[in-house]
Amino acid sequence: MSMLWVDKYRPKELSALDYHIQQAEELKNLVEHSDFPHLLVYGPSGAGKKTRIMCILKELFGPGVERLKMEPITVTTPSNKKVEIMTVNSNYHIEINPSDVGIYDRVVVMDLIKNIAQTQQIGMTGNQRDFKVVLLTEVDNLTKDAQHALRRTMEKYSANCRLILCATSLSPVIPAIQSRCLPIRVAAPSVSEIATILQSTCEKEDLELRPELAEQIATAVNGNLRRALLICEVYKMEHGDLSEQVGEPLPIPEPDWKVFVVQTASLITSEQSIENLMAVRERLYELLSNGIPPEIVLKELLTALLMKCDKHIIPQVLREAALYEYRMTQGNKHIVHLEAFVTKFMCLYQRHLKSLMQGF
Amino acid sequence: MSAKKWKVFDFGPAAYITEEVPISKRKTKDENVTSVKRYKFSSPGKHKSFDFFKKLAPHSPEDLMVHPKKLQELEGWIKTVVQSNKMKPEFLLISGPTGCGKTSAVQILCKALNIELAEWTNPIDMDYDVMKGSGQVAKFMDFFSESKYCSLFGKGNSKKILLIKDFPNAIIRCPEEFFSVLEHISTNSVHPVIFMCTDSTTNEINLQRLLFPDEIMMKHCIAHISFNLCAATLLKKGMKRASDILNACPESFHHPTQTTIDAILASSMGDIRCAMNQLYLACIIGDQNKFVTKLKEGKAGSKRGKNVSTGSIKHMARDEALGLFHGLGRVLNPKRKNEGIAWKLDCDLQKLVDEFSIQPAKFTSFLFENYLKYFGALGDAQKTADILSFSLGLLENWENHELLLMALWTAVSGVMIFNEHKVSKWNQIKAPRKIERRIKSIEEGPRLHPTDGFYYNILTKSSKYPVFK
Repeated sequence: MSMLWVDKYRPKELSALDYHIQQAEELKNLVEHSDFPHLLVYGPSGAGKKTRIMCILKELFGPGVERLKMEPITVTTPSNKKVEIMTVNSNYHIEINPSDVGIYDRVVVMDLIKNIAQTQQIGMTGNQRDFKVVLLTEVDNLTKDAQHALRRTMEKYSANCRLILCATSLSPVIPAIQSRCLPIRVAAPSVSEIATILQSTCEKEDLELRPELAEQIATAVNGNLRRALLICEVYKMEHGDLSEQVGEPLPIPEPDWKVFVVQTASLITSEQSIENLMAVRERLYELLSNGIPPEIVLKELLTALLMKCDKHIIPQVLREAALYEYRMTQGNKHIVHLEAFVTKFMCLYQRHLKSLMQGF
Repeated sequence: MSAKKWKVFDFGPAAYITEEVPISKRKTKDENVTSVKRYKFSSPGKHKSFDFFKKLAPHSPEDLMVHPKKLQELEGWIKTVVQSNKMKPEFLLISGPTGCGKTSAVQILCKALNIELAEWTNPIDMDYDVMKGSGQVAKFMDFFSESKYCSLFGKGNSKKILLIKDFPNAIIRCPEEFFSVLEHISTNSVHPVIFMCTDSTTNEINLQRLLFPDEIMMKHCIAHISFNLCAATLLKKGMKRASDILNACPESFHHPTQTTIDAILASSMGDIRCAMNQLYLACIIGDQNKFVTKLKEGKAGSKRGKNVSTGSIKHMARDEALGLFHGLGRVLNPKRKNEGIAWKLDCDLQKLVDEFSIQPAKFTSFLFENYLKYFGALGDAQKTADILSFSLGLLENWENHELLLMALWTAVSGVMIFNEHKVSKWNQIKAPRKIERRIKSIEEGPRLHPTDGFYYNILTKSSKYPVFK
């Protein structure tokens, strides 16, 4: 299987990054300093957090970090249950996504990191550092228990290991962890930056991309560079030519889950009843169990609903959405808050329809 | 030494090696004994010739209302430890709810196998004033070493097992002391030891968790037998045996009617000791009609599938513990009482919440999964959904146990109060769904966000990422 453009043209060095040049410089300075802090890299999806982290690692340890191997690791929970988690590691770092194991993430954070951190590096040569790096992704999905455990681990083993945490949003991360890390925000690239990158990528592929299309894709993805590259590649595969416009401008393909959310929104507006609510719940469950992040579900659902409702109730709907979004960040059972929002919207919508009827 | 000399010797108050005969008299817990005495006063001099509990106490393993398999397990353990010639004590932990016959089983089996059983009882405070002796723990320790001497009443050559049911208070406050005692006796003592722990729902007094954590169990190779609640059939059998014995006796007691026995069975919740106490009470109360009419209420309740412990039974009855489904049923089908234009819930909310024997978080997620089916109007459902979402906020950010209960309280009262248009039909209770990620973030191949899976599927013409219809 040929590589996706996303992986093929991923910058490998801090100096090769296309945007946030200033930040790249600063990161380079940071790495050159001997004292490397814990990092907390955050920013929207597809903005290049992971790319930057890999660049930092390469800068720290040299090309050795690119020799990756996948390895399942088994940890035992206090209730004697064996949980397996996949890790990606090199000689210098290990990458784990603790939220893969759901509620057992605390055990992973405690045991796994402890094991790694307790082994000291010996026989350092050249540019090798005297610490290992543990890269934790999706830190915002960690349970509170795990975050508190992590706090302790960070303090205790800071001599042998550094943590790089990667999160989409900072608010679910407890302040104790935030204050122990150097926060690095990776903002989403602008439309023109995305368009430029699309152009340069197509050049490397020996393709010609017409500027309007690049612009169109860049606008549609809302700052998500990875998605832009994927759409571009899909476009090329489905329509062949990117250089000339054949007939009508073709629409940007929408991902199926987005269509699914829009369908759910029309289900909500079509009828407001308990039965319908149960159907909506099923659909929400489906979205969540397929890994679509709940905050994105809420956001997309809200956008789709706002398109359908009268401008008089929009402020109220937004207020409710804000409330439930906040509650959602406080816990791990997102479905309850999503459903509460849906019922609230149904009620508001129904009341509004009734008041319209009375007007006649 | 002549026997006469020994006769005048004062043994002092309550020796802590209690012998077989006194033990079988100590069949019931102390508070029961006192209550029994009270009733005896109310009908003075009537049944002096008849010791109710002595008569009804099981005499052979066949009389025990314990599951035969459990009995077999226990017998097996006792036989092996008695036969083994190791100079090292064997340990056994027996756990189970109150009144399921743990102690009786051990006593009867030991009697049947002709093994001496020595039980530790905490010395009461009064002793300290008199003796100014060593501390409780030291005495506890002595119990193990002294137990190598034969009892004066013992038969001398028989084997011996030590029974610890009454853990010294000092130890409960500081489990480490217990661990060191264990350490000590595992090298210095020779007799097998049986520890007995009653199950408890609260954490503070959960002896089994406190004193026998996994590592201790492993370290000292402590065997564990867990007793269950007395099964309904066994309870019935026990009651039958009891009433047969009573019927065979002279007219010293009022013989309980079938109605009384049914009501006792319904309200004793697998606690055979409680059942026996109630039977005793029923037999003793003179005005039998009064007792029966009161019980009829209870019986009608039991037919509807509810354990209503009423009137006269109340002060001897067990605390009710609600199972999961039972509790859910109460909450999802709230009963109302109209008072003029207002109404209120026909149940004691605080009592209900106290009776749940399940974790608050679990119960709330069960409520969430099932509440919609019981609601008839969207407005009600909306209020409830909001309350549930709010209580979840409390549940997931709790700092102490009280807050957890508070969250449960909020959720339960929300679901009960807002259900104004109740749908009354049979609904299947569903377990809360677990959202498990079908796509793990670290896998072979390129790693993409699930929101981008759609494009990946198109590009590689595969269906690695799920497709939405």
